[in-house]
Amino acid sequence: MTRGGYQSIDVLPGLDRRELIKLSAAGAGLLLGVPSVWAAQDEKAAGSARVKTNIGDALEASRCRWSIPGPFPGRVARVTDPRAMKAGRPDAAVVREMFRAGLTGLAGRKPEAAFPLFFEKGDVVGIKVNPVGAGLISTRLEVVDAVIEWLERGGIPRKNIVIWDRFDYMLTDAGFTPGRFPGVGIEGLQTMDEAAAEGKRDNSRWLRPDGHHVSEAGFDRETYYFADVEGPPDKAYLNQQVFNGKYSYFGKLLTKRLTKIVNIPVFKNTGNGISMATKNLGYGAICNTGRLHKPLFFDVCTEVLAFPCIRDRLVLNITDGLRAQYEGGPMPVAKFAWEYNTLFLATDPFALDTICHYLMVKERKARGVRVNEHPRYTEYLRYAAELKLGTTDPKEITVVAG
Amino acid sequence: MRGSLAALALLLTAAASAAVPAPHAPAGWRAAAKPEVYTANNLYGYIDGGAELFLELGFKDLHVYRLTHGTRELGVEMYRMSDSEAALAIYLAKCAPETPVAGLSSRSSGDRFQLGILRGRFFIMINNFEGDESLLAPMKQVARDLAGQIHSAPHALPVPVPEHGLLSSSVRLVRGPFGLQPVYTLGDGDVLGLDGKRWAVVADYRDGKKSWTLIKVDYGDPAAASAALTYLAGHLDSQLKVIGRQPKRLVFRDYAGQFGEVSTAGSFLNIRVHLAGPPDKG
Repeated sequence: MTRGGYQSIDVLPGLDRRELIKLSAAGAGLLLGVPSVWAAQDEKAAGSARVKTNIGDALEASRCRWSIPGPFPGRVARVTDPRAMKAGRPDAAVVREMFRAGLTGLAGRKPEAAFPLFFEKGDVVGIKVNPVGAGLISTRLEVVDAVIEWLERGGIPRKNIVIWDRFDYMLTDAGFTPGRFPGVGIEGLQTMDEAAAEGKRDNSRWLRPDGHHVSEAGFDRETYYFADVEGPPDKAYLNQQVFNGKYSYFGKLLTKRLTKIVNIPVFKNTGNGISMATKNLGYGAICNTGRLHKPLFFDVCTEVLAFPCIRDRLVLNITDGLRAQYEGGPMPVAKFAWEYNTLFLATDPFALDTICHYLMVKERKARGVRVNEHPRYTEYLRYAAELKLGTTDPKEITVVAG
Repeated sequence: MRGSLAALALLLTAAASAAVPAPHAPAGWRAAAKPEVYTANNLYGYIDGGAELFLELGFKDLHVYRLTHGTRELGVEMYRMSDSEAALAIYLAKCAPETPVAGLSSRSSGDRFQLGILRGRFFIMINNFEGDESLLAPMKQVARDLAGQIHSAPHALPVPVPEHGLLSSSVRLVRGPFGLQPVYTLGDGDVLGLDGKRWAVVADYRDGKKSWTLIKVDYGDPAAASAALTYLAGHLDSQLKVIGRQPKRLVFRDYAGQFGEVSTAGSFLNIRVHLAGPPDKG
């Protein structure tokens, strides 16, 4: 494990500042007030207006001391230890050591001393995991263990910790169960009946007699991401998305109960882009997202994070690259997964994704995967910088070895 | 009349279902009596976020079988595509660069987690959810069994491409914007007018120090190819700056400072991108 000290991007393995700057410069002159859509999926005529959203509502809300990019804008800690994965399984002791080293590198002080930079007494902390691809490419339980230990040492009782994701059944599949994490809350924002979706069962388990989804109560009708686009008005969509229409409500867990969020995505691609820190929350904290992929895609990762219930609570992001996936994501594909043995930590989710996007592109090229580096796949990062949500100019990002 | 139609529909459904081979369970294993069947209408319920590519390439239906042995489980996915070219296209999209599996005579790629097999108009995936090494043998047995039930001729590319300098592992087939997305952004939407019906072959080349990516489409006749060039020129992505335009040729420079060239030759549209320098004058 590389220990201590700060290093520039140039001297860290796999990072080349000139290449990174080139990546950024490709998008210079685009943007910034009018983020583009993911037009490869967009059948609209060129030049037509972008789908209207209520991002203005989010920007009007006053910021607070906890707002992203947090105390370390533009700083990313990276920790690699080849001992982390043993025979395909994480070594809990090594992972714990990596987490603590990364935190020390990020904050410049020991984890216990750094604790007040992130939390205060009485906090209710939500740990957002990514359970997709259970076992193969989902958030490692051992990373969550390390975070929980740190929280407990800092004075957060287990009853004030909630491991969460959008879908309850995925949490179970990925091993986030009460038996594995006793005393810690484990909550999905919603349920979905997979068997009904596959046509093997009727809709009675997810659809109430009045025609509403059983998970409606889990979402806050007062706090929403509006986008002027709708999904198909059918039951299959409703089963998965809870609501039809133009509103994506935030989970009540975020708006009513959590006071802080620790975000633990996985290092993986989604097409030409990445599905990491900002997508884990952008598409994981709200319902009715199916309608958003085509017209807005990555812009959702920026705009949803601008809303106070995330912006003012997201204190730490840990990208789990113990096992990573360079192709076929966001769904699991074993042949494209590899043991990367790396964790990334940042308070600034957009700086983190900027670095990880660059590393992903580099990895894909090295493995012979064709890469489309069109600026549209990173415009959402520069858009976030314009909204003052993070630092995405490589010249202003420091990568720290944990 | 309505009853007759319903009966006919049932017959057709049964016939279609019967045309999909079912795996025979290896010794000690049990196979579920009926497969889960997905059509174009509900495929997205099975492949979260990835159904569009299947649909664009020519998806007919998917039969999913579960094989169990105690607590161990194998999943077998039988994707029936519209034709053998569509099967080749999805196989390359999901499995290339190929890692052939020892002991299988069919075209295959994979490892102990997943085997992908190309056979006739079928793309077959055999999934070992735990990655247990000991399950590789029954996975291969199931693959051989299924392959034996499907007649298959060698799969040829729908559009011929030059062989000199070709990096064979880079070949992909594209039938619309989803397939083109990982290759290059030429413009919004279906800017090549492939419409899920016309094939483009994509391939990387290296010749000495030069390298490029070729996208080649056969429009059937010269006039259609010429019209495709005209349409592309008028809808070129805003990040591509045109630096040369002739009746049968277009040259541009892209966001990364690389060059691209679009030209027609008979019924073909040839697009070369990722050129380090300006292309020779045509």
